[in-house]
Amino acid sequence: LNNQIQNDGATKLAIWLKVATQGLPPLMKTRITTEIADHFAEVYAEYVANGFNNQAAETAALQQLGEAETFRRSYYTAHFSQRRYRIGFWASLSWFGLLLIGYFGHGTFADLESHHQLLWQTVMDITSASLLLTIVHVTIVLLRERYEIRLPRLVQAFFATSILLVVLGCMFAIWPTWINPEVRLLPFQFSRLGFGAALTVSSYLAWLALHRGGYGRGRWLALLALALGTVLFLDALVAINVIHVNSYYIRRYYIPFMAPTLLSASLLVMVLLLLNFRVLGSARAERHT
Amino acid sequence: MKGVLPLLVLRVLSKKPNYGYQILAELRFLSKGVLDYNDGALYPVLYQLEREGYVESYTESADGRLRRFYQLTEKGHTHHKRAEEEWVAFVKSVQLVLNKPSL
Repeated sequence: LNNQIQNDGATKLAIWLKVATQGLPPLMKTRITTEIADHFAEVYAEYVANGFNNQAAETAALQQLGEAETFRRSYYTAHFSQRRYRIGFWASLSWFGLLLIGYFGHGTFADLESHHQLLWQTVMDITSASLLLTIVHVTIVLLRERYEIRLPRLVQAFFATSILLVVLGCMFAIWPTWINPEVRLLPFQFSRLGFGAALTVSSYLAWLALHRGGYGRGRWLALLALALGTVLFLDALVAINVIHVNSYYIRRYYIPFMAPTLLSASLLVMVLLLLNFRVLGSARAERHT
Repeated sequence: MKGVLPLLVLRVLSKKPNYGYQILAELRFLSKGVLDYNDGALYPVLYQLEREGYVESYTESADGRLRRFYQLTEKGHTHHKRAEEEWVAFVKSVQLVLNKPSL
């Protein structure tokens, strides 16, 4: 910065830049910071040359930059991350919807004639695969561009616990039927424990969504998706527990395919929502501080 | 007004490569101070144009400072011409409507 700029002005500019670049990839952050700081110094020098005193020049130069939040939103639009996020978000929700149709409509579709069933299955599979690829692509792009994805510690704990529960659940649910049929009660007990834990943590997540996530309607959408994601997650937990139910469809399709799919869908929905919280929720947090 | 900024930036850059501060100064000068955008509004537009491949940037020392200059690419020149034609056609049609005495 121009040496003439006083500490106060530099601090104000630093705050402006912090708000304007929050959540952006580090490389972009550096570039914007340098460019805006240089720009600020030039505008400041122009005001000083026009007879403004230091403080007035700093204030005027800062005002001329406009709102930092507006800048950040424009930048996100310019950088397509919002668009990417929206694509990922709607792809996740659509995928989730598709899974629900497939899940609840299973009985209905089972009554269809075989060639209709095959057609339906093919359409579902192709749509599902396209949506999944989109979601994976969005997530990879966001990660590759090193957008700041900082999940709150409790959410990290939630993910870790969920994965652990599912892994343990799978182990407990599968090995007794192969090795020792007498231990079949264990998955049931385990499921209740998992259910309680998931319910507790999901309540916290719901609270997080309401109080810290996004703005206006986005907040409610986020909450809705979060709730649906949680239901899917719980469903997956329950599904693991029904392995000993004597049903060909459950054994053949639900356990090996649907449960992991539902689980990954719920996790993806949650991750994308949390990305949103990071990007949009930070502005809200700043207003409070 | 906001949607016009990319076109105006392309116009300024079609003359010669320039950097942020000068682009805005040029806009203010050419519009006789009427187009007075917030300085912060320019950079997202520049990034977007760069991302779309209409402009490219490079750093160069000017007046003892290292500055990031923006210049139009081939694609940018083509896009600029087309956008300007579209804009002129749009303004003409708006004027036609506004000048209708029956309205």
